[in-house]
Amino acid sequence: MKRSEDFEFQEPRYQSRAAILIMAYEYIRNFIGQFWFLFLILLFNADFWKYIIGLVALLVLAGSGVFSILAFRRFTFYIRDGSFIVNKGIFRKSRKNVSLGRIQAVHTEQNILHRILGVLELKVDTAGTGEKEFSIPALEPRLADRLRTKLLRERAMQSTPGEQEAHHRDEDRTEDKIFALRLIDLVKIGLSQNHFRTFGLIMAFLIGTSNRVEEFFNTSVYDYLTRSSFWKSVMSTSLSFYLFLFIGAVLLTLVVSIVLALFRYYGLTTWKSARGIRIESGLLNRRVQAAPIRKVQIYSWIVNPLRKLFGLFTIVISQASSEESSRSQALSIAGARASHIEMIKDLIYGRIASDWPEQVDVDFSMAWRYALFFGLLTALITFLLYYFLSWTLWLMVIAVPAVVLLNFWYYYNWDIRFNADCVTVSRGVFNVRTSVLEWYKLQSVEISQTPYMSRNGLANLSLYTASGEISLPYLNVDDAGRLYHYALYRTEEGNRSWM
Amino acid sequence: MSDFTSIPDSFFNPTVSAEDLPQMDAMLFRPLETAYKQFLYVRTLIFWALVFMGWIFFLLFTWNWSTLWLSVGGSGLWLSLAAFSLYAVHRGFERKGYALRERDISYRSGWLFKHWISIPYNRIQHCELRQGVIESSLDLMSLNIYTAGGSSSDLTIPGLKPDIASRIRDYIIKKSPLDEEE
Repeated sequence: MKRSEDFEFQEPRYQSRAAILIMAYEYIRNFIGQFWFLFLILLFNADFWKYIIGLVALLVLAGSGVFSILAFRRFTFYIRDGSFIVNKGIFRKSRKNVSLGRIQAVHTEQNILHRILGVLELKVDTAGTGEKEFSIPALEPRLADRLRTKLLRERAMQSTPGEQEAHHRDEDRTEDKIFALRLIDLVKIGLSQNHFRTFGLIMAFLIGTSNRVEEFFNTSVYDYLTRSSFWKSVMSTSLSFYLFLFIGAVLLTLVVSIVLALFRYYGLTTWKSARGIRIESGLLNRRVQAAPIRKVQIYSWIVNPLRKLFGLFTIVISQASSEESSRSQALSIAGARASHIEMIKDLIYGRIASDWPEQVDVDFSMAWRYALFFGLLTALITFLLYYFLSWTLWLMVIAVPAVVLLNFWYYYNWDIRFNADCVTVSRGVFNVRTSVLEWYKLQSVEISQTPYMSRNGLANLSLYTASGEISLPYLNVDDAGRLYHYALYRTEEGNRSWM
Repeated sequence: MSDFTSIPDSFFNPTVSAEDLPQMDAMLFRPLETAYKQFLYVRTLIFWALVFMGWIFFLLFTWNWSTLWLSVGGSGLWLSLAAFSLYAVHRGFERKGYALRERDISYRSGWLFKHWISIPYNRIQHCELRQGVIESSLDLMSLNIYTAGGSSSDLTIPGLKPDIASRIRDYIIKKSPLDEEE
């Protein structure tokens, strides 16, 4: 005799009404995300525009409300005939259909709004290419749980014993929390970000908008700022004016970096389980990344001089992925300490990644050849800037030695060690990245030689994995050749799956 | 380097001695079809012909007797680059070759800038036979082998006779873990 719950999801049903608010929030957030800079610019202009902004804001709010209600009415889901079916869409009506046997995992997520409204988002991962994920934006927790149970039970009925075994393994949801980012470390991360990049973006933004600002105010930034006598005395010379702008930009950079770090890394927590590693982070938008251990291709950690002072590292776990998405597929843990690096490394590799008895060196000629090439390039560029744009020649005097030094520093940071199972490579100037990879996971290997290298017994060795390439430059050609063939041997000898 | 990188004799991956970089373990690289050399010459000539045509147009529009020496110099530059390209094709072709072993396939190329790349059969995602317009008139095909490592990790063997190309592909498919895609 069938129980009532067997019929529970057979008829199309709606999700929780909270979905309306959640979808509206998503629309608004997307809109703001696209057009925030426009608002910022309009804000600087005459009062007239403020009315426009108010009107636009109202329109957006109203529009989101209407669309959300319509979307809510269109969104239904049910289970029938061994398939999970979802109807959605206002204009682009779609009916998604997935056979229950292809479901990999069902899990739930919550962002701030979900937590306030007391609902969950239910996500269904499926195997195969194409649409990989179904999501129901808002469900009451108990309903979500019943749906999840039902989906998994139906899936079990459709799969082979081998698949069921794997499913049971995936089902083991017991997790150990292995890392949680502390608030103080979050601030330290913000302070030690790649400020140059943020600074560059801010300068570009300021320079870009300052022209428009000046147009509308019919004055120059300088005149505006010197209206008060205090600032006038501070910026009595053009040098102090530029210094003032520079310091202002630096402070702004710091603030922006910290704020961005806050949004991205807030509450970063890492769990390990039988299924692998899972990371959650983010303030407004909770981001979840997960990787089964066997899919890990490269394990890396990154440190820059500022972070080193704080003792903080960024761990990056790369999985097998397509080229375009490899960046976003990599799991990253910011604000980790050296002990975490070791702990997660042992989790992924066990004992095989602990000893590095062998080492190969990068030939010193790389240092001076790179220094020569980039030094000459810098000299050329700074000279052209001087000649055509009347930039100061002092730029060359400063830039060229700096570039030369950076190249030697780059050479100095190179470190390549290996053992019978894996290889570990460190490279970089400011951001030094150390990566561990197993020989047998390689996809292919390549050796290349420039004419100079051919004449001097040197070679580049490129190791290709499913999540990117690692190039070892200026190796001794014998070492390169031996590693080349050893890597092939390790890849070819067994039947171990590389993912 | 220590002993662990020595490969056990029991690992059967036969190689045959041939002249190559003395430090690199020797593999027998089979050369490409000589017709492919014609293809490369033709392609290079077409490229430089187009460049030169563009240059002539440019000169026609900006003709100025006072800069005659510049025009002559420029033309001379293009011509010498073209000649060097053709010479590079000649020298490069004799280095191009592929090696089929029991467990992997390799390709060697390059005259000034040398490359060797190897892909184990058990890492091949799929392969394709391709033939361009000029190639088909010369009865040549290319074999493209794709891995999960991105495009720089993939391998292309050009200049093969069609039946040899398909025989290599069949051999590879048999050896690799390709099964029916879902």
